[in-house]
Amino acid sequence: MTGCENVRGFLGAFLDGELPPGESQSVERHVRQCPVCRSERERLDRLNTALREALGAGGEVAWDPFWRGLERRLEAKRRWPATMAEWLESAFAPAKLAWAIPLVLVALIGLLSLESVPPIGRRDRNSFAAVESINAYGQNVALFRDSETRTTVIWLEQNQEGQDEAPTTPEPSPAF
Amino acid sequence: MELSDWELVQKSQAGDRAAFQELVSRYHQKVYMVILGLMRNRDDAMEVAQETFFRAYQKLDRFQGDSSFYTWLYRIAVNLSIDAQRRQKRTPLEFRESVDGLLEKQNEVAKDPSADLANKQLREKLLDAINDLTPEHKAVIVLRTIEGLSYRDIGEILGCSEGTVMSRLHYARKKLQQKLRAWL
Repeated sequence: MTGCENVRGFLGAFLDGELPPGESQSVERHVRQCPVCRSERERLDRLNTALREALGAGGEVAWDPFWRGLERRLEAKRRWPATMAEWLESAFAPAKLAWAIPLVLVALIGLLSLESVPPIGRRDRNSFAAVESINAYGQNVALFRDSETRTTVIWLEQNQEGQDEAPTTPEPSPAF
Repeated sequence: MELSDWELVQKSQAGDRAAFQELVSRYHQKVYMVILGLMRNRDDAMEVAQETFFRAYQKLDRFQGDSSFYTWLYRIAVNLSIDAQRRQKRTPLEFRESVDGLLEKQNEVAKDPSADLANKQLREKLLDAINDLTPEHKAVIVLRTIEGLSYRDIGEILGCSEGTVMSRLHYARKKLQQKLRAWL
């Protein structure tokens, strides 16, 4: 290890004390004789000092929140398995399970009777559409009902033909 | 007689809460400083430090003593810091404010105003330059500078060889020197 370029590649490790003894002595010898590498070593020294000062600052902090927060989280973690076991034990104990049976039945019946739930085994929509002419008023009424989206659309349209044929005396309104 | 880390770990694994508390007492300051070096924001560093010990507690059963406790702990801390940084990439303004706050606090105890100004500017430039490094290069600089860890320990923490640590340190220092040419 004699060339300047080669030595400079190991200067950092040399200053960190990470070179094997033989290589370390070789670098030291070179640096003692070479002013350029000596200056490079001094620059690296200054950088390391500045780094220690810059990164070493900021350690004076209040530790109370840290300890409180950590203790709270650790305590919650310690409690969790015990809490879970207690809950499972109480919820599934045979004597206490009786109340749940009618509750589950009622919930199931309620769920099945909801319009939005399709009948089991049949996935088609329960929807219909109808168009009715009201000749007496020259109107067409269209009705569309979709049970899945619970939408009802009533569409009223002027019937040109019907208007032409409309009698002069109105008839009683048709019952819907 | 003071118990070793490994003895405390074994006691903690057996459910001894005081033993784990002793481990936290030994390392919380060091872990916080490493995280602060990587994140440069006190609140974030405190949060990640707390998360580090919580994760350590969760994983403690799996720790078999293959490595030293502190390298195992630092590995958790470094990984969490890098993840947190990637997740919430702080804006330069926020970073600047956190550095300014740090420097102002240091200025309060300064004696020589002119020397302090130069130091302040140098620190500011240096922290900026460190912040521009990749997480891997920043990690080697921080672990070496703050903890003075050996290349072997750093390699163990970062999951790479000693040669890679040496090469990353060389590159990172070169980068910092280039950016601080006028100052050093």
